[in-house]
Amino acid sequence: MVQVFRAEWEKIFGNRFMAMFLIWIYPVGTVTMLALTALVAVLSVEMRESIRLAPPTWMDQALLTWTIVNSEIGRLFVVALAAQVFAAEYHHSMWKNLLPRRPRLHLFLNKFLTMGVIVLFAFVSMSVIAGIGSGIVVWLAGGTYGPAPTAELLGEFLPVVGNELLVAFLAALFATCYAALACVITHSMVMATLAALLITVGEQTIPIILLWIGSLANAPELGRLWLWFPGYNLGNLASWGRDGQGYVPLFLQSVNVEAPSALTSLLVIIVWLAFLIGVSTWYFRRQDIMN
Amino acid sequence: MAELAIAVQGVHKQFGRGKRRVYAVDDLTLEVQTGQVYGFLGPNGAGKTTTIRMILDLINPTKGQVRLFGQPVRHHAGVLNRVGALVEGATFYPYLTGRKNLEVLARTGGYFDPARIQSLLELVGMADRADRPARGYSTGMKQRMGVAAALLGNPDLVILDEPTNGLDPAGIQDMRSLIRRLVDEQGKTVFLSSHMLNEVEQICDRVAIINRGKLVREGAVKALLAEKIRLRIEASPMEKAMQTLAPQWTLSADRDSGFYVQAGREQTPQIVEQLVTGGSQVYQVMIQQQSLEELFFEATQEAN
Repeated sequence: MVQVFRAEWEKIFGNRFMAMFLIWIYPVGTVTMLALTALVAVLSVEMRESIRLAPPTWMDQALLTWTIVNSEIGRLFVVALAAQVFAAEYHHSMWKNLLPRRPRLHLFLNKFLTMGVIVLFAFVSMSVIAGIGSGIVVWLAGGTYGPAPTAELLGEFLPVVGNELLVAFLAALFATCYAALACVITHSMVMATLAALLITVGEQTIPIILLWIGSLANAPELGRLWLWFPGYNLGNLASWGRDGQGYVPLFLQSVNVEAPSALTSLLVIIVWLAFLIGVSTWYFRRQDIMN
Repeated sequence: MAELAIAVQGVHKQFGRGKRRVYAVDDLTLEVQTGQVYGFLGPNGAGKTTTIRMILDLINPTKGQVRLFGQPVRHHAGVLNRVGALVEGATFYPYLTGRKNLEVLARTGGYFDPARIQSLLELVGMADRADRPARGYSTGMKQRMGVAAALLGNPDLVILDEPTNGLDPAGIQDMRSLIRRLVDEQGKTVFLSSHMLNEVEQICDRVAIINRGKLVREGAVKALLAEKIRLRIEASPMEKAMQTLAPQWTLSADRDSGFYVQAGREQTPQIVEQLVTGGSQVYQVMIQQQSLEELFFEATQEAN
């Protein structure tokens, strides 16, 4: 299995153009942004002064990256990468060379595994670089980069960042699942990217649709269905990690809804992921490879 | 009896539904024994590539079963590890070098060995061009790399679909000798689909001809070609000689100075005697067997 993983890794990073714009962009983009900030800090007295007066903490900087990753723009990169990874064999007519060498199930699940590792690598490296690089910028500005990472502080901070990482990773996995399913159906990178984006963005409109149907049917409790969708449960999980309490959307507050526990949300997410991976794998296994 | 490398048993493949339904393969049964070069012939659209794809579990038969070395191939029963294939033109990741492509394929199969990759690159004459990106390869270069890719796992069964496409004459000759060596020296089985009938006639032990998804002829090349022996006769005057034989024999004109009689070796004395008695002078009588090309056209036209 290590060899199959390595083969997928080599294929992905061998496509330098794709790797540059969809993987390396996370760490390299962060380094570039920090370098530009550092340059401005070196050249501008005002900038140095403002950093010195209100220096960012390394915790803020490390957490900031997860906000970017979890934004719609951040999701776009993951979707595009997943579409490239899953559609490459259709695009280059390579399934006919690969499938006789290894069961379909292994090859397909290996793509999910490789995507997961790459996404983790990209996100974590971005967060670490942001945390350390911001310290360099503050140091150049003559400020103090704190607070000191005591055991107590780390004990509080690591679960928070761990939760952010978990939510970002799960959200990336959802984007990957949508792209994988779209790829096996359309065989096209562009169509898969568009379809996956449409699903990712479209999911955010589900509460509105539920609300609308609920008002038409005079059944506002229909909005409760949103609690079973991935988008809500990712948000709820993030809320438990960040604020220590669940999240009830504004439109559901009139229906007397209680936010599920973090564990329930995690279970719902796992069931959704298993379903999406299962469906795309099932479809791929029985598919005729024609070109 | 030798082990069966391939057993295609009553296989159908249907595309489309209702009025658009097309049978690409229609109740095909084939048996390929180990240790031979088996030619698989048919006109365009006859169902050759569809059959090969079913053998490799790339597409699912609508009905019937494919077995390799006695095991069914559905959902990669592991037996496909004994197979190497070049299907419908060699394809590669264009952004990787030829060598990297082979490495990726070998890792996927779980038999990564740089020394084997190097020796295969040398075998197919691509060692000096292996470190260039595959996007720059010509069709012939891709075919050579495709054969190397097929042999990566040292398979017992090698399936080659039009391996000489795009090769120059020297390349075709190399490929022909490589295929024979794979069987004669390494004991492999080669399943060869080709439109180059001359090539198939030279290197195959057995052939199957399919047309419109159905098997129309199958057998040992020598036996199939010997089925229709004919005599080529040069006699003078030719018209008189043909008139003499016409009531009893089936004749056909030659493009040159002779004509053909549908008859075997044992009828030669009788025919010569008839010609001499009829007043013709006989200069030459040659026993000829039909070529694979003639057999192919006859078989496919009969089926049409």
